[in-house]
Amino acid sequence: MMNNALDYLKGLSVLVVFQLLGEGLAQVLPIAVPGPVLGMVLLFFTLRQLGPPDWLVKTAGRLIGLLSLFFIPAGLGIFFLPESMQQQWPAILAAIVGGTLLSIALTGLTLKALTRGIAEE
Amino acid sequence: MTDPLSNEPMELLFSAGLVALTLCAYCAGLWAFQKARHFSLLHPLVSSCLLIAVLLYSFDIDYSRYQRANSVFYWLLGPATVALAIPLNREFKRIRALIQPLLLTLLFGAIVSPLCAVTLAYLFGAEPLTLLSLTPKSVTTPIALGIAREIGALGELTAGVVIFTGVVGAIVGPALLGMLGIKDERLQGFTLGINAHGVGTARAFDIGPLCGAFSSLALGLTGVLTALTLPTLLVYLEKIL
Repeated sequence: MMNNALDYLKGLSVLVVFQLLGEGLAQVLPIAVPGPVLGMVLLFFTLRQLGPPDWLVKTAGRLIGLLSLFFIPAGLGIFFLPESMQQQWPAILAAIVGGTLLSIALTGLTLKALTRGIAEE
Repeated sequence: MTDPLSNEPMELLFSAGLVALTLCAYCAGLWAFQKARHFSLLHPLVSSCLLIAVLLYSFDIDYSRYQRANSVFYWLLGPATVALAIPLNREFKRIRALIQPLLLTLLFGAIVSPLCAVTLAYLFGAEPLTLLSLTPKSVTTPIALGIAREIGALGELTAGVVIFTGVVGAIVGPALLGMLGIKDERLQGFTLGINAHGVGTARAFDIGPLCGAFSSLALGLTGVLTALTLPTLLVYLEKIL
C-alpha cells in the first residue's frame, strides 16, 4: 500500500517537473505553445531514450483515466457563455455543431482514403 | 487563486463543498454511463456538467466562484497533458507506420476545420469579430487562447467555442465515424484529436488505449500546427479580401 502511494508520488513528481521544463521552454520559444504540451514533447523524447519505468506508466494511466473529470470545470462554461456569444447564437451554434460534424466527416474520410491498404494490421 | 488561509472559515467550507460537488457529480455521471452501457450522450463529462449547471443555477451560485474553488482540476490538466507522452511512446511504432497519411490529414484538418466553422457562421450572418473568434475552435484551450490573442479575436468567446466544440465532437464523433465506415481505432482517435482536442482525447481513451494514443498525437500536433500557421494564413487572407 505504502509502496503504491510512493509510486504515484514519484510519477506525479516526474510529470510536474516535465511540465515545469515545458513552461520554461515556452517562455523562450517565439511561438505560443502551452507549457504542458511542450512538457509532453520533452517527456516523449526522454522516454524514447530511456524507456518508461513502471511507476510512471501506472501514474500516467490513472491521470489519463481521469481526464474527463479534469475537464468538468472548463466544460461547464457551455452553460455560462459570455453575452457576446448569446447574441449571435444561431450562427455560433451552426458553426460549432455543423462545422464540427462536417470537419470530422471530411478529415475522417480523408484519413481513411489515405491509409487504404496500409492501415490493416 | 486567493490564499486559503486568509479566507473566512465559511468561505473555505463553501469552496470545499463546490469541489465535493464536482467529484460527486462525476461519480454519479460515471455510474450512469456504465449503467447505460457507454451510451455516448450520457458521457460523464456531459451528464455531470448538466447536473452541476442545474445546481449552480438553482442555488444562484456564480460560475466564476465555482471555477475558483475548482482550480485544482485545471491544475491537474497540466500533468495529465504531460502524461500523454506515455501512450505516445508506447504506440510509437504503430504511429510511425502511418506517419505520412497522418501528417497529410493533419494539414488538411488544420485548414478544413476553421474553414467549415467560418463558412457556416458567415452563412448564418455572424459578425467579422465572431468569425475570427471561431477560427481556433478545434485547438486545445490554452493554445486557442494564445492564438486568439495574436489574431485579435475575442478570448472569452473563443474559450466557450473551443469547449463546446470538444463536447460536440466527443459525443457525436465516434458514432458519425462509425456510420461513415471508419471503425479502426487508430483512425477514429486521430480524427477525434484533430477536431475535438482534449475533450475528444478523453473520449478516445474511453474507446481504447490505442485510440487514445492516436488522439493524443493529433491533439498535440494540431495545436502546434495551428499556432504556427493560422495567424500567418489570416494575414494573407486579409490582403486578398
